[in-house]
Amino acid sequence: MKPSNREPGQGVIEVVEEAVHLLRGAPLQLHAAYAAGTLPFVLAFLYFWADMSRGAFARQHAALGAAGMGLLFLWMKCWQAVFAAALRSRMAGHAAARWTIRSVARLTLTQMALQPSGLFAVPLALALLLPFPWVYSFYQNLTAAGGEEGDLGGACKTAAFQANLRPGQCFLLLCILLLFAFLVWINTVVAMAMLPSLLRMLFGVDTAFTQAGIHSVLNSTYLACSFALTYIFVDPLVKTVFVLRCFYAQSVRSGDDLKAELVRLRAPSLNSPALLASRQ
Amino acid sequence: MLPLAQQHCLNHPAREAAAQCPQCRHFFCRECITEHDDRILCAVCLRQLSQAAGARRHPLRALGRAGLAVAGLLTAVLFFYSVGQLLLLIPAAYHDGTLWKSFWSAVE
Repeated sequence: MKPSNREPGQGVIEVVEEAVHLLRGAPLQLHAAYAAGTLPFVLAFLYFWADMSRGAFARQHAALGAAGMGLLFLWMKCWQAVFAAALRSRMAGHAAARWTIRSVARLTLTQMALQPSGLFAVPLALALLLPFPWVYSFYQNLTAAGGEEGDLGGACKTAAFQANLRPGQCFLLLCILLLFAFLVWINTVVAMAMLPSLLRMLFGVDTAFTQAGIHSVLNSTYLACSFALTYIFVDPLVKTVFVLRCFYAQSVRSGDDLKAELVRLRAPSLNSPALLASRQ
Repeated sequence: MLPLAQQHCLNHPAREAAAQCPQCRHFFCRECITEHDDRILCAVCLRQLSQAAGARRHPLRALGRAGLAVAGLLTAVLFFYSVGQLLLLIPAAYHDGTLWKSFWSAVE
């Protein structure tokens, strides 16, 4: 019989399922850490979009707005790295490492130095299509690794190594996540279009959206809102998927997955009824 | 050179060699070698490598890293400034939807 080279827990669907399970089981603090970074950025981006597209004096304060957006982007990336580090700790089955001034500074500097290039590199890779999975995966891995490496070269090397690992799995994962994102976007657009009508129907609340009718959905801010909401809904799953990929890639060398499995196996035995009875 | 099976540890001549260090090319027993960065190394070479890595940590490195972080911030600002300029270039009729209003009225 031909030996299978598939390792358990590393199939495409298994990774997505595990990511959903991990995300659903995550404590509220973890989601709060994600929201603390992402929500300010998304809200500011929508304001920036609306201002730049309709503001009478937009040209005068475009630079100031862009500076604010740049800072909020880095703020978001740092919090997303914190979110990823907490997820990794949960995966490994141990308590999250305490954040010190040194570790915060290391994470901030790593994210500040490396992530902004992705703003240009990812759209460029998308335009060229072929390198997109590697480039996208590289920047997601930089978040998932969360500045673990002491130096920038090490962080880049780790992210590039993990981006090159199992490219087929990466490509299929991106296809599934893209399809999922598209379905979420369709649902978001429909919900956003129906909400004002439902408010009028159920509570008699008449808003500017119901008065404008179909024209309320034809402006570019509406489209930006739908994309922003889709990003908020889908991105935590994307981050979790890449955290899992990095975790399993590192486990090949560190054995962290086996250690976590041992911790899980040992945990119920420590609280077994026989042991509890013997303690009393 | 004799094959590995006939070699003995450099530190423990009574013991058979288990591996050859790729750095110093000497043979060592299982106890004297270790795995580092996907390579089997002897303790002496590993110490030299870690000392070299430690010596590379120059105070200017931190400054360089801070400089890269500032460059990153400027890159992000440049990106959002470009997005802003792009949005300013798009006609207002598209942003407020009046471009489609006439088309939609014609359809209705």
